[in-house]
Amino acid sequence: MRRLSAPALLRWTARTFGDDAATRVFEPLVADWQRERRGAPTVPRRVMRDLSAMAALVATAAHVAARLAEPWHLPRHDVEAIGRTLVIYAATGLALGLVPFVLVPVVSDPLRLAFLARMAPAVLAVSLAVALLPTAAAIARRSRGGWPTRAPWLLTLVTALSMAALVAHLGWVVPAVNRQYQEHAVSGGAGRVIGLSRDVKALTLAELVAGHPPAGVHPRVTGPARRHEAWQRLALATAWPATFAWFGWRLARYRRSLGVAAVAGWWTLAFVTTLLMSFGGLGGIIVSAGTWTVAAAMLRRQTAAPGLDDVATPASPHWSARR
Amino acid sequence: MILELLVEHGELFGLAMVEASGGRLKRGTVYVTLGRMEEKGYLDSRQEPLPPGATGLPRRLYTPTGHALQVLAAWRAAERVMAGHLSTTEA
Repeated sequence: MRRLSAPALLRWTARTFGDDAATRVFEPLVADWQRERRGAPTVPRRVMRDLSAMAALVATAAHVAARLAEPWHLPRHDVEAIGRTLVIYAATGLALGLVPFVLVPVVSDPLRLAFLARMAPAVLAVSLAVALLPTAAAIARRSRGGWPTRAPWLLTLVTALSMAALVAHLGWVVPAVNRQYQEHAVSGGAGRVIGLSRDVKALTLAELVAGHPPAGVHPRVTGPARRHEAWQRLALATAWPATFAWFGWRLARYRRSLGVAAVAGWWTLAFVTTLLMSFGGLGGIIVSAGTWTVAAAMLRRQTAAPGLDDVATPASPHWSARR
Repeated sequence: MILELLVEHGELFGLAMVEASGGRLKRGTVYVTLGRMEEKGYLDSRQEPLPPGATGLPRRLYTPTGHALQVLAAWRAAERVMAGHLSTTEA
């Protein structure tokens, strides 16, 4: 394994956090670390000092990242304009995403609120990701000074929100619904019969939230329900990776290392999503693999083009932001 | 606290401040704080000249600016006034 040198570490911090942070914050840290390391009398002492310095490096990186994500260092009207853009696009995406489920004729039950509640986190996650494009444009319009360094971190926060919504959806709502389906599919008996996909469209919100089998509910998966679910899986297998790829492509324009890390994270999540939603279905995996290939090609094309990193100027005579 | 340490000890580098503070300053935050103080004009810094033949990065030494010393003096004066006021109230 190649050893990480101090100049390589500083080049990475310059690419990720900007030249100013690399020069003012990380360079003194690394210089003190080097000097402390040389003064260590024994190997165990040197190892202890290395561990302490590495912990300090991680803590410092976390502090700098948190500081770069602070939007309140911008003028208030700029923050408001950027926030407004994000909220408007996310709310529009949420409303548009839920419209098909509101209008589906087969769902005539007045208790469809439960179904909308089930879908809302997933739709919100998608709409937040889609809102990143206009938000990034709003940030770019207001770019001044170090804002190009700040922008990817703000976008990363929005992505984290989006992922949290998705995790809430996949980690809590879907398992709760599936558990109800499985229990009732086995028990059967007389009572209310549900024939829709994943049996949730006729559940009340209270039944959904409780996570317990409602008395007398007997789901029955019908042909239309299966087709509906197949389309849902297809949409998830294509829309997610495409959204993730777009995000990484956009992010890579500002900072390549962050963009690549974001795409890796998004793709992992997309893969897990696909597996969870298709329960091992070969079709979903093939479709998502195809989408990922296109996404990878998009990213490769983008990272081959000149970005902001290429115009960064060397910040120190002891290391350079450019290799 | 950083300003007090620098007034007391003179020019210091980041790790020396952590050691001189007796654990009150943390290594994971001191460099961020020093960077922000320098950005705001409270500190000046210079790179330590490397001896001939030495390798590695030069350490960065920090000194308080005149503005920072004025701020520190004003802070100490305010502290004294408040302490006097509190002791009068308690008595």
